Amino acid sequence: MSGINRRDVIKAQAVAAAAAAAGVAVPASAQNLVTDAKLTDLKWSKAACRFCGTGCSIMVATKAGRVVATHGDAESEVNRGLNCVKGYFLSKIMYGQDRLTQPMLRKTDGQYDKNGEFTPISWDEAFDTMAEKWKTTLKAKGPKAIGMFGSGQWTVWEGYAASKLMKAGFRSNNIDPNARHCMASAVVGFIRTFGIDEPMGCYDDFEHADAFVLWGSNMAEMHPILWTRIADRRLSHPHVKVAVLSTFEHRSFDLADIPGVFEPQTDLIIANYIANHIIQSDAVNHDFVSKHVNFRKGAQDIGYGLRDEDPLQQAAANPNSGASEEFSLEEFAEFVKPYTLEFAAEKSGVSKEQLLKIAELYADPDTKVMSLWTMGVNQHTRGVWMNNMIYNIHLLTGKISQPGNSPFSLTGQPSACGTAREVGTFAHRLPADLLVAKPEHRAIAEKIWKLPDGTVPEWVGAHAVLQNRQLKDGDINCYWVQVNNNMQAAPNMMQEGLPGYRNPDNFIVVSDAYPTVTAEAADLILPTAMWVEKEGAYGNAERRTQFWHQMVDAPGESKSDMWQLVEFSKRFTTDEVWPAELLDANPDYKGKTLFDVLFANGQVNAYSNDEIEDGYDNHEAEDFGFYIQKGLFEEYAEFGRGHAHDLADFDTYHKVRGLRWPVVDGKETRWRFSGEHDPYVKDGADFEFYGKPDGKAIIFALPYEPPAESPDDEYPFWLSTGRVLEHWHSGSMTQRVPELYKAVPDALCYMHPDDAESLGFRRGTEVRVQSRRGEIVTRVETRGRNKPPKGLIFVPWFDARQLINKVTLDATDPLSKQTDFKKCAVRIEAV
Amino acid sequence: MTGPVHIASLLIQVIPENRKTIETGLLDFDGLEIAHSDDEGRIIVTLETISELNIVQALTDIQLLTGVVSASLVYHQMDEPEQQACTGT
Amino acid sequence: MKRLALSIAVLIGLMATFAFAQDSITTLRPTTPLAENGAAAPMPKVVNSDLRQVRNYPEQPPLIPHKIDNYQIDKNANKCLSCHARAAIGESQAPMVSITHFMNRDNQFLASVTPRRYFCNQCHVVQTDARPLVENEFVDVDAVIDYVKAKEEAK
Repeated sequence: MSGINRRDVIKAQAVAAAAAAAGVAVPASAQNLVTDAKLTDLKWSKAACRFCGTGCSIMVATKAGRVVATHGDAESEVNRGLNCVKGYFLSKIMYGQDRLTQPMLRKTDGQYDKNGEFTPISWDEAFDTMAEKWKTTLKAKGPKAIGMFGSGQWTVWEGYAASKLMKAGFRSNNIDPNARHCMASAVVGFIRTFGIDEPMGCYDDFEHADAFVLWGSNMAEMHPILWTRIADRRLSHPHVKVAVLSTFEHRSFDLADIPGVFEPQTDLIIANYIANHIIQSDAVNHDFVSKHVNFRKGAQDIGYGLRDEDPLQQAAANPNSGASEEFSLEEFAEFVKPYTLEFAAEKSGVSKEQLLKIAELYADPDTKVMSLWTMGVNQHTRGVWMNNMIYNIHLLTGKISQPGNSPFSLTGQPSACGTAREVGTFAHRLPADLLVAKPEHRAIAEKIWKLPDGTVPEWVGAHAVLQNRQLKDGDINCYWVQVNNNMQAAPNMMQEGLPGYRNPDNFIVVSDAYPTVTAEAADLILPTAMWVEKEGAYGNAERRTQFWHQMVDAPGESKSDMWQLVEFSKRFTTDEVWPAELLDANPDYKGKTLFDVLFANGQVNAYSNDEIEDGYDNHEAEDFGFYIQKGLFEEYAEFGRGHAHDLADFDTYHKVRGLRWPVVDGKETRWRFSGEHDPYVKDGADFEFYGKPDGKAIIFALPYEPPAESPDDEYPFWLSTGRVLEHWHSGSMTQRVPELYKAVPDALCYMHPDDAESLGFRRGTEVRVQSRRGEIVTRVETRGRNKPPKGLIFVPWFDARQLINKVTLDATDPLSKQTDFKKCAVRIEAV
Repeated sequence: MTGPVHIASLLIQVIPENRKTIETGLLDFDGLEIAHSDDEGRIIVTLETISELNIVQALTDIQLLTGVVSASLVYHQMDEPEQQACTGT
Repeated sequence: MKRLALSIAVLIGLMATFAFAQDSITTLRPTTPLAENGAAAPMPKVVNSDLRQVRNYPEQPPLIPHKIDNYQIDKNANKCLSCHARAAIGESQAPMVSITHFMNRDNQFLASVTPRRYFCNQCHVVQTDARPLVENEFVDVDAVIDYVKAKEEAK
């Protein structure tokens, strides 16, 4: 490096990091430090991490159009300068050599052919081909024959643009995010118990709690930065206790004072036992319960979310029923009475001593408890019930909406809350908790969108698993997948995933940055700008909305998901996609493009590109001629302002390290439903669960019911799937970072050494893991970080070469439609 | 210099009226350079030392200067002349 | 200088595109059709060379250049610190944990490693001898600076 002293470069970086932390521009005086500062100056900007729902803030350094470094943002309350190993390698996720740079269509002899080879084409040809398929299908079969599958990794405005294009443009509610696989049970749990989505508490609870109870969550690997806050609290305050409940032993057990490995599905029994213990030991907070809680008894025997003709569905008394009836505390006490300590210990396999310790944490009025859960509870055929039952415990004791007393539903994706849930990209939702099935809610959306009455259809669209079934059955024929890898992620790939994508009647479009398994199953692939190649916003698990700028250009012809959606809308006129009666009643809308009515509506295009912060490019705004991110965000924010979902104004978010909604008078809200903290609680009330008409939350009486499939003689092992620390979801980003790949290159079959021995396996033996649905080939690991009990194996799903979802079962929670990826029956054979 | 060098940056918040006095005091520290200083009382300095402990000591001493509201370490890197390996961030 | 040449090629946007039509495109699953199962890769070995690797950028946590099988890191003990703690490096000659690891959430220094950094393997990982399936074209900041400099000089 002629002319530049390496040490000067480091110093310049050191100064830049401090300047970024202080929020001052890289100071001119710093240039005295180095011989040629112009060369060594890096531009540091803030961004949200691309991976999990924790929502760490990071600083990104760019130079000459490249990301050259990242580090944890010292100013961020979430992570205070820390990242996990994935976060520290964010700099490299965009630079896999195989980035997609041009649209590709399956062709034979120059013509589209479902069985042809991927051939590079122009964006014009890509959109022409797509538009022709969409128009033909809409004409022949109507809006129920098109569908879209998005993600909690969409930015806020991408999800909003997608939802608006599908629901108001194409008039189809067949749009669902992969958050359905991840958060749906949490959502329905919130709505059932509180009438409003998302956690009441926030991450500040970590520094206030006296006890942490993990329900089926492995935060040490899946939410590592939140785990640092628990480790900090536990190790610096000796009175603090950590309880970890799981179906197998994993890294979170390293910090556990109270470990418990339970038989799959018996978490339902443990939760009811704890409720029973609270009642029996007279630990009910009667003042809180009488003022703030109603009791209801939920419908039972509700099936398993399988196809209607499945024998298990046929056998259910109340398939898919979320009904409930009035109940009382006394009746509830009787209901949970059979869930004794002895019964719970016998069924769960957790010792009486440990169960009692956990129950005591909740029952002791002087112990502030934070319950934490994600996929173990949500990916569960009784996931909604489990969410309800954890709230039961907190409501019985009044341990809620106060610093440290916090039932906290964690999220898996960076914007599961911000995009999938708050924007409402689910098949049944609209922004700010509104529902497509309610006429008054549709009317609100149509008014804000300046669209005619009756534009948004009333039918609930197909959810994730149902979309795959409808593709297989030929009910959905045009399908667009953005920013996720659902062929690898969805359950029962061989019977319910791949057949639909390869159904000759269907046309499948996949937008992605990399050639994923899903892209290979598609007919048209669109190259996509990712992360800081576009201006974005994510919302994390504590209701914190965070923004970032476009910092570098995307490679080749890649464009953001939002650009693709909005550009595609230009190819349709209302006459082509709306029914004649709607247009006859509203002739002003005739002959307009969907772009005109959805995006050039005087609101989305209200902000000029002059408002874009100096020093940042914005490829979408440049192409469309207006500051489209700001327009989409401000239109979207109108849904929530004044309705307990208030977001701050757009420009504020570019300055701060995120704010937790509702943001009222510029102030964020840390503990919702608390009179002390939440401006929406009526004056004078200590608590108010204002999501319900009478301000009271609901305790639900719900029983144990067995899982959809359990081990038997033929398939004697439980299979649980999940993630590992080093890889994010399906690995499409992290498997392309050499350091992360070399840390954990392959999925393995984690099993108990005794099970391995009895089957004649050693560590490293090549085996087939088989279910009634499919099989994979992998290798046995008996000494790894996960230590399953006898009778259970764990196989992570990040590995594209070992598609474990060929094996899993597409049973879902009947209420949330979220798949249970944690329980099915398998056998294991040597290859 | 043959041994490793530790390079760190500190962000110091001072009461603006005391800034000039503090700047003078700061320059007494070995290996310290002021990279930035503004009217809002924000000072950024770099430190170049031969051990971590010197950085910790300097930080403690700076916090004791009259008029210093807070001082925090933002960045630290060890630069070794030969293999250019480092200990952590 | 090979690295310089490569970085310039990357920086001016000469990214490799798919020149030919193809059927199997999933780079992370290079040979086996989606409906079939290939053989499982052999279990890779953990690199145990003790040779430190150059970091991609100063903020990157260093990789662990040795085996950590059966290392106890739990609420009772931290095996890593038995070599990397401040007081241990005299004997072990291992690198001391960075002083950033002594700061708490409020940026104040503690007498020992902060509990928030206690679980080393949240950031520091071993490397196996597995060969990456896809090359990564991240460019080191030094190469970027060389490129900027070369461009300046060419003016």
